[in-house]
Amino acid sequence: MRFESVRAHPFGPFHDETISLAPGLNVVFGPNEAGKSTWHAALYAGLCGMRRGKGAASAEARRFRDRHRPWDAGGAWAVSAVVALEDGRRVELHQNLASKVDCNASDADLAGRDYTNEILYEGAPDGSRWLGLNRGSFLGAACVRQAQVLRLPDDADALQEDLQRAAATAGADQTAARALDLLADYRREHVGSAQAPTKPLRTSRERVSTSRSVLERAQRAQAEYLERRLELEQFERQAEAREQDAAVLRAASAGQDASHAEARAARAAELSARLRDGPPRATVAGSGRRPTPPYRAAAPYLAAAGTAAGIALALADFLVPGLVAAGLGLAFLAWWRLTTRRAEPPAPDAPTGTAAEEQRLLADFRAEAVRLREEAASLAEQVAPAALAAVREVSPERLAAAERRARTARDACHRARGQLEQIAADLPSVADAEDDLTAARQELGRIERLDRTLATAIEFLERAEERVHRDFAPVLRATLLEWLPRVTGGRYTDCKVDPESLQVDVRTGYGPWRRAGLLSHGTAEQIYLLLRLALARHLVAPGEVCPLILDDVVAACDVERKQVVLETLQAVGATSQVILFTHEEDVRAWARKRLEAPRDALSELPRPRRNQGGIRAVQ
Amino acid sequence: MPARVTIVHFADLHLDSGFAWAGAGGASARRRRQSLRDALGHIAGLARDVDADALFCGGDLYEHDRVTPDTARFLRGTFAELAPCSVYLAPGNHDWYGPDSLYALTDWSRNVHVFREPRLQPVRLGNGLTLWGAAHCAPASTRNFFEGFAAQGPGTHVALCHAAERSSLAEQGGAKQPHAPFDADDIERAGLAHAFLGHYHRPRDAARYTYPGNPDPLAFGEDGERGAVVATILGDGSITRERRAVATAPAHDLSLDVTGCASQQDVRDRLLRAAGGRRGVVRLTMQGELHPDVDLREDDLRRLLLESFDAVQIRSGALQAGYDLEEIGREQTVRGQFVRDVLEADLPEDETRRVLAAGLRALAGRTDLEAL
Repeated sequence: MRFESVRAHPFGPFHDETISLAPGLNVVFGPNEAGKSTWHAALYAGLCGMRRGKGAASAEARRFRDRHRPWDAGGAWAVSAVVALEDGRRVELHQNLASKVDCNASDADLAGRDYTNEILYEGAPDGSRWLGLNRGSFLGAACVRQAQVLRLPDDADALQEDLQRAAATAGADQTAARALDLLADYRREHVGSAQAPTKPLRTSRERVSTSRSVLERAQRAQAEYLERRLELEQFERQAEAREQDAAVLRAASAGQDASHAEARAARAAELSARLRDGPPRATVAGSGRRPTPPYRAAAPYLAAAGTAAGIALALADFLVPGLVAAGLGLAFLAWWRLTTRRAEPPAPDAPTGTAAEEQRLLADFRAEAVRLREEAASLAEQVAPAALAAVREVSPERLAAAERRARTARDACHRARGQLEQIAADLPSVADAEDDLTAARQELGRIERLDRTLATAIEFLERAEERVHRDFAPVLRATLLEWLPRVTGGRYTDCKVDPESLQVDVRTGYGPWRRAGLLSHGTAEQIYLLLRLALARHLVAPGEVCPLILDDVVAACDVERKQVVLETLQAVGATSQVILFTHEEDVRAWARKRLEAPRDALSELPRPRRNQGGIRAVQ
Repeated sequence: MPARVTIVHFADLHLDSGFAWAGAGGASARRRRQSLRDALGHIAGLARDVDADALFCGGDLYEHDRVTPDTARFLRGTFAELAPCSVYLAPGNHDWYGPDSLYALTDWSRNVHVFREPRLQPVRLGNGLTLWGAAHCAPASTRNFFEGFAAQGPGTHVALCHAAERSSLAEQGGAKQPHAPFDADDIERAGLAHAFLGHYHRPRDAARYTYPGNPDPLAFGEDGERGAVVATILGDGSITRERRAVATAPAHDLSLDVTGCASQQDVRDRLLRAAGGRRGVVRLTMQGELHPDVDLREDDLRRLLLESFDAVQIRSGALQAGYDLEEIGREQTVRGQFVRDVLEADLPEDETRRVLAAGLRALAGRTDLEAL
């Protein structure tokens, strides 16, 4: 491929201006501000166009737009280029950079033949696709910037790095080595080794381990809780059974007490009936009778009290002493009554104090018996009748033992409930722990997946780098061998290219190998340009030839080196188009003297006119 | 005029369930568990609103292995407050009845009846209606409750249990196990007018049985009108059913096409529009072609969605890296060789996408090497 012409209509400061180009070496001369960079950009834009897609433009595209949009064209921005392909076709590419709609590639000789669809790339026709490149890689393969050449004297690795970059991404982006470094750094930082305590892989594994332990603890606690809950249920059932046992004995005992009380009341009534005549009544004061001595007045009360105490003792399981006491009391009452009747017969209707006391005591006995019976009935209601009926005799000892057992069971129950409540209060959530473990596993899975991804990317990239370098090395060597003796005036005749690192070494005859990056500046620049030519040849599709666009690449050369480099470029121009932009008078002078149409050409850009960006293209 | 009994039937609430499936952990998962309780609150409210005679639960009310004392108290209180409405609980395979089960250890209020036997047992509901219920007493291997069973006595007979109707098993998804499996004909053969069931999470109304479906989301991709069923059982055994949604936080399936997004901001804006103020849990499926310059990370999207949703799951399997791989593959460069090699390698599709993105980003000098 070679450019025949480029037309700016409008582009940057130019409006409807054209630059025509020869098939060999083209020197485009212009002083500063004459528009060399603009024509350089127009060449690129005319061939490759700009990406036309949804979304915002990339930063690089924005910079391009800001720099090369026409200054005063009312929004129009377009460029066209005519290129000749190796297959004989001449194609005119029209790139409407403002709307990106009116972009097309048509045959320059055969009207109506359209090639747009053949080279569409990211929404717009891209002529570099005929070279097997695209608007990204074309820049790296075909364009050599001044800065790239200026680096060579200062940086011995620059040549090798540039080759690596070209080999990796056609010069558009990073070298494969840098990309591998980035991948390795990312892997080190975002995955890390299993031994690095602060790196994600180790910490996420620890988190999984911790979460698993937490879950196991939660599950154990849950199991213990359920076990304790079941245990409490058993304690509760046991306590209830013990309480029932005690309740039955309590009811039975109460029944016995009620029966005893009823018997006591009945017996007291019987004794009272037997002694119906009762003790002598007290003398009425002021009746005119002889006063009763104090001991006689107190005697019936003492006797009655003794009788009552005796009955009480008898009823309270002190039968013998009670009966003796009651008997003595009754005997004394009988004696007292006989002796008193003889002395003072009582008034017929006045009850004595002793009789009232007797009746009160009997009423108390009956009331106590009723109360105990009601209490027994109440207790009996709370227990199974069959269980109550089965109880024969309840001793106080037996009842106390049952009460003790019930109390013990109740205490055990309370303790178990307290413990359970404590466990429940501290019970971790199994579901929470499961969720945490799953989250930890997912995070570990993500990190392990990232590790695999990065490891795979590194493996494939290393393999690709090795293979491409291996393929590149002989191509570079062949190109260098073709040109090296000629451009170095026979100083260097042999070269080798390390397939691993693309390091270039040269030598004379069988002399020692010398690293190209460490040679004199002029020689290094020559070798660099030859290598770029080799790369451009290698990177393009078979059957095509890539033009080289050079931006002031000889600016830093001394006169002698400049001469050699220019001669080299002219020699290269014999097989592929070379477009050299320069602002140097000595280069123009050389071109005027050495370049011959129609193979080569000098294009001189006029000096910029005040207040006008337009520049006349000359041939 | 036949006698009527109105019941509210639900099943498969799975209280205390884990929510890792939804990408939820910590506070998000707890919120989801709370929403399950809220759903039960809505079911109880529904029973009150329709003045139901009874509330039926067809099992898997909670998860035995995860249940907390707090859940026991919550259930007791919720059901006690429903009195005098009766509550009938038929334990399932996730909340099987056993001596250490919440069913056995909870001091239920008098209006709650728990079926405790692995065979159908009767309860008279009045109006000539008899309810036969059964319990799973183990997490697996429960046999067909209806096999060899014949409803005895006059009136209408219905059943409540947790069981798998065999012909519906396939449509419930491969993970579903046939617990207490039965054939639809078994119900009629057993003399039952209807069976109120649990186990299948996808709702199903058949002539003789009803699966209400899980009332609150338990997985993404759940379809069908699920919730609680208000059923009116007439004296002749006929039934009318009405489904009511009771979920507090539905699960959403969102799809986001990132084609044409030029920046992460574009993706975020598009995602927020797609989310449209929804709440609950969400599964986001990324698709389309992601421009190579867009630094899009799963964590960023997750954080954005968690501002609105309780839980988020992101799938990016259908996402395409916006590289022109065919074009790059034609390059005689390391990059071209790398793309060709990766595409030719027998890697899973999503792994291929991630490896290509990492390698191409590194070659472009980028430092965001982890792709979606």
